[in-house]
Amino acid sequence: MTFKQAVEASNPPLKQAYKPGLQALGAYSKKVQCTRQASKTLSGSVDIDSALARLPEYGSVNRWDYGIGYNPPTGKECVVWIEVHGAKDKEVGTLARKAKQLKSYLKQNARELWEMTLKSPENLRFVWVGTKSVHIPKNSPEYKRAAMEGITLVGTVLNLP
Amino acid sequence: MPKRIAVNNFGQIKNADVKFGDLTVFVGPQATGKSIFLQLLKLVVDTPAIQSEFKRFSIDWEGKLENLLELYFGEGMSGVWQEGVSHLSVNGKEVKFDNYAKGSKRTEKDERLFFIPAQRVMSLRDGLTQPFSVYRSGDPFVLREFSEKLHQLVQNEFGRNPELFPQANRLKKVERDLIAEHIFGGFGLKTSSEKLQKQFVLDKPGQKKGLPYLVWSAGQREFVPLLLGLYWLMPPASKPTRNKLEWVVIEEMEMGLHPKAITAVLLLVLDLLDRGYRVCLSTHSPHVLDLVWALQFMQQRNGTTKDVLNIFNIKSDGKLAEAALNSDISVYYFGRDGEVRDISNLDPGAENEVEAGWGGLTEFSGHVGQIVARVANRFDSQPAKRKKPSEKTPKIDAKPEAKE
Repeated sequence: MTFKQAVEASNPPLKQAYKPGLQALGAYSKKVQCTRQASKTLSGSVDIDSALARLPEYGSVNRWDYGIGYNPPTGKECVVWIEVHGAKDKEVGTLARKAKQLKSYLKQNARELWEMTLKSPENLRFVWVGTKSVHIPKNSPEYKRAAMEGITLVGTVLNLP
Repeated sequence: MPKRIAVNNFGQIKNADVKFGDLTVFVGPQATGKSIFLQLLKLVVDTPAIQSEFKRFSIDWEGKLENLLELYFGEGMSGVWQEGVSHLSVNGKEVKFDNYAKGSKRTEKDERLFFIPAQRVMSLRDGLTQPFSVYRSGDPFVLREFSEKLHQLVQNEFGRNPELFPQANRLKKVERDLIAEHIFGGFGLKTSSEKLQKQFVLDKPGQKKGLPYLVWSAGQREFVPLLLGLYWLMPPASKPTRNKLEWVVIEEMEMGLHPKAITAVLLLVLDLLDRGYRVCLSTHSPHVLDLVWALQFMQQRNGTTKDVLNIFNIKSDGKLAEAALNSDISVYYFGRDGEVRDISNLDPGAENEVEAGWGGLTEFSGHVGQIVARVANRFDSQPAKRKKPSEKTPKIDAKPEAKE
């Protein structure tokens, strides 16, 4: 199954959210860089934050930002979930809640996307990209706390191999 | 005075171009040239004083560079400089290295740079200070000279007073309190003149006999020569510095110390900055870079003296904190490839991994974090029945926050 098919197999309103390339990321598309040719590396994107904001039950909860279809150098097409967010220590709790909400939503409403997420490299499933700068050193408890939630803080740009 | 030193092919260093701040910190793996570079700085700053000290002890290098390098850097080290291959420039001007072996044009013999070497524990062998002359001629000059200064300090300034720590007129109270708590653990430091020798002992009120040097903790043995070096730099006089000293080099100040003790020593480093010294540190401690990172952040984001003091959990001294906030700080990474890189921004999000990982000092933590993230995600993808209650991940505070 492709990323596009997995998005379209999910429940509304996410099923209408597919965008080619990194279009769903808008101005944040520059936050994702590919070491190989982008068209071969990326297979599409969704703005899951905006999509779920339309649902009353998700309107006021912490929501994850984006998902992108990713073709790793080896292995099958998979999904990387990206949160562009201020990288300050007090935000770790927010990111953890967002990740928890995202996983819960995918399991219940977008099973195919969840299955593709599980095919992603384990340190590229839930990626935190700093909005402007990163204020969490790698030796800090907050960095470790994010790691314990399965969230990888990559810096201000995600470089996809 | 050098504001910038650049070298090519000097010892292990292929290329370095270092601009000194008020505080300059060197990091990098072992044997990448940090110490050689700091000793070179001393040579550049203090050639007349170094030559004068050799002459005082009747040590003759016969005007030959090779001999001087063996005497100064230590036995077997004359190869650090290769004629025609190595280059040195100071403040942008190429320097003829041979000149360091010739008589200096400068007649000023006063030392400008005080060097506290990594091998400082050698200066208190058996708990006794060691004068310059007891060392072999192949021992590094910076160790011999440091040792000589401690010997002078103890013989002259503490000749009649056996109490070395705590001393009301040495260091600020807040500094003494931190040292007493985190390093000496309630013991005092004094000299005992048994057997006609001034031997250091740790002394506790109520105990008949002091603890001799060899039963101290490794951290205490490392710290005492550092403390005495700081006494040398911080004389009990109205003038904040000693004689004409302007520079201080401290190698691996963290050696043997618990992080709380490192914090205490970092406060003393800020004191040196407040006194007007230009300080250079080499370190393998992320703790030191934590402070540098925080100070730089505070400088950019209107941090206050109170913020600086909060790092140390102290309420005074605001003047010292002010000096820290006004200090220009540089950090350089000495790589295994011989390249020296400026990583002063210490940006954890930098694309340059050397800067993001603080020259390797936080790299392992980051690596471990990534492995843990992988395990966390793998665990999530396992069937629910395999999860045991005891394997639950820690709960995250459920308090809602404003959405970004």
